[in-house]
Amino acid sequence: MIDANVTLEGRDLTRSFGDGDTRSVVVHDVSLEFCAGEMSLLLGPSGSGKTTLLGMLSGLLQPDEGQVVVLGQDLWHMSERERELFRLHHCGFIFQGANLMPALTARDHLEMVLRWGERLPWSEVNRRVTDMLGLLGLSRKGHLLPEHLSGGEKQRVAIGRALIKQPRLFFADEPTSALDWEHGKHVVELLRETAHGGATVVMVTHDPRILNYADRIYRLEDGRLLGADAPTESAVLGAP
Amino acid sequence: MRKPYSLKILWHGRNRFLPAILAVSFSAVLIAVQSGVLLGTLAVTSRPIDHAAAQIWIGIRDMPSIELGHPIPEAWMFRLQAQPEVEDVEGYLYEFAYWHKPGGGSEHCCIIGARLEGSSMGAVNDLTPQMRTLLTEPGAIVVDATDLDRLGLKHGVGESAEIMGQKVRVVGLVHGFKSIWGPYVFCSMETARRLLTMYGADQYQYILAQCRSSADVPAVVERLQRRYPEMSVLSDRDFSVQTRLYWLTRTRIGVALGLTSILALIVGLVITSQTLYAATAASLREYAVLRALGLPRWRISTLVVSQSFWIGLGGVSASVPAALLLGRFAGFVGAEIQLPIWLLAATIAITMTIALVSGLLALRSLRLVEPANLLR
Repeated sequence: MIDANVTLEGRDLTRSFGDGDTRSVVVHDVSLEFCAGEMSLLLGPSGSGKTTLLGMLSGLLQPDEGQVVVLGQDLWHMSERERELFRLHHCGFIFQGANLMPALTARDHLEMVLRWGERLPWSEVNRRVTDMLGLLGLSRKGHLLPEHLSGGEKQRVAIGRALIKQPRLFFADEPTSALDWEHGKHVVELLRETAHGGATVVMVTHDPRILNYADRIYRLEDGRLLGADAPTESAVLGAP
Repeated sequence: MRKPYSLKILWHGRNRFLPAILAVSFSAVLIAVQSGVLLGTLAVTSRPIDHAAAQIWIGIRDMPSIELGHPIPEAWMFRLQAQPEVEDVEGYLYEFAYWHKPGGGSEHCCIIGARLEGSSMGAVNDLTPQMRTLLTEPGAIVVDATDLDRLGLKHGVGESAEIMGQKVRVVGLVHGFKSIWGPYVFCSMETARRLLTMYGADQYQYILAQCRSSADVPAVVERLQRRYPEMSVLSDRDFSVQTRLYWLTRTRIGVALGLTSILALIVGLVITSQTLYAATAASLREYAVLRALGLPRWRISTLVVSQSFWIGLGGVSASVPAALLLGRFAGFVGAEIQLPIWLLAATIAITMTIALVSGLLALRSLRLVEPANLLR
């Protein structure tokens, strides 16, 4: 049965790196789906292929085999330009580091996405940036450069930069790995709110503290999908 | 007003970008000053034309430059006088000679003999009425103040020397006529004829004319040139430009200066391009995030090229005052650097172009921007 809320689906995805004797299959024949309104986790030990899988699902890394259907479209049958526009209109990303430009303020980073991506007028940009800074708890820090923000604040700016264009799909690669739990928790709560607001959130993590916030958990090992679990402690540990 | 992102990046990384700004500035100063020196040098070659009142210059056929004329017959004056638009006609002598210094030794000099009355077309307007009166005495001459040393003179006025074995006496000094091939010696037509014995009494090197209306000059020039192909007939403006172009193209005077300017441009180009390349390469991850979010590549390219624009602007902003100051300083030490507005504008245009080309060259680092590399 097809879930009407499914927005993202990976079918028989395989990806390898290297050639000949050095060829290594990182993701092997993985099929999975994600729904709007849910925060899903891709869990697995180091080298399990979860980040590679995220790359294929998000349009950043082309699969060797398989198909990614997103919002009813075959992602890897699009031209590069079409995929770029798809990401612009529908996808938000955050990565392990905040990757903020040292010369630009928190506000600049949010503005840039709306000005350069959405080409919105300044009045609209100002309104949405001010709202987003408020949502991030950074209302008083919009004028600060990254060097004057804490690690958690930087990551929140990175999330704001991805959220401000109101994407339907949100991909996060270990977004809390560089943060202490106090700041990490705030980031996870933000992502869960985003999901429960109607977006599809896919997060790669190995942080067990995040599990109780997830709506769906996919466990991977050696490039293969072990199964989908409910968010329980046992799922994290892989215990019987 | 909102500062552009590129300007913010440049300001934040000012220590990194300073060498590029200085390199651009150095290039611009060098181009402006080198060109200014060239213009100043070339201007001296045509100054006897530019500072005289004559509107039409007539000489031997195919004369490329004022100092390469030959004796022409006085009878050609009648050809000009026959033109209804022509108001006045007179002869002009311009010839090289040997100057014998009072203390021994000799030097090439360039004798300019012209009528001296107030309505004279050949005498340069730097000769004051008092000088012109003094020059009517036989053997009286005027020289440029900066040539005194070259002529073996100490104070100039009142001192004597010899030209072609004839005694001459300095009665005045002018400024701005420091010739590149031999000091100018201004004198009356009578004195010039006495010194330049190779000229017959019915010969001049040039015949000068003025029209009743300056608007008639082109028509008279065209008519005379067509009717008398054995003569060169040029307006003062054309003769001046032709003289300067001759010195620019037929000699190597512009080559060395031009090569230095090109070298400066290359230095500016390489430093700016490498600085921007390094700065862009250091921000690959930040740019990759923007690409992952779907922001178009051209936006990021524009961001890099905009930085080169600000580097160029910073460079030329510093260079224009520096070039003007150098020009002023050169004037104090007797050299001439001409920095007209068009030259400064051209320098700014060239420098900005070079800066922007540097930005375009630095774009090759953006090939390394790959959003997938952000996945660990």
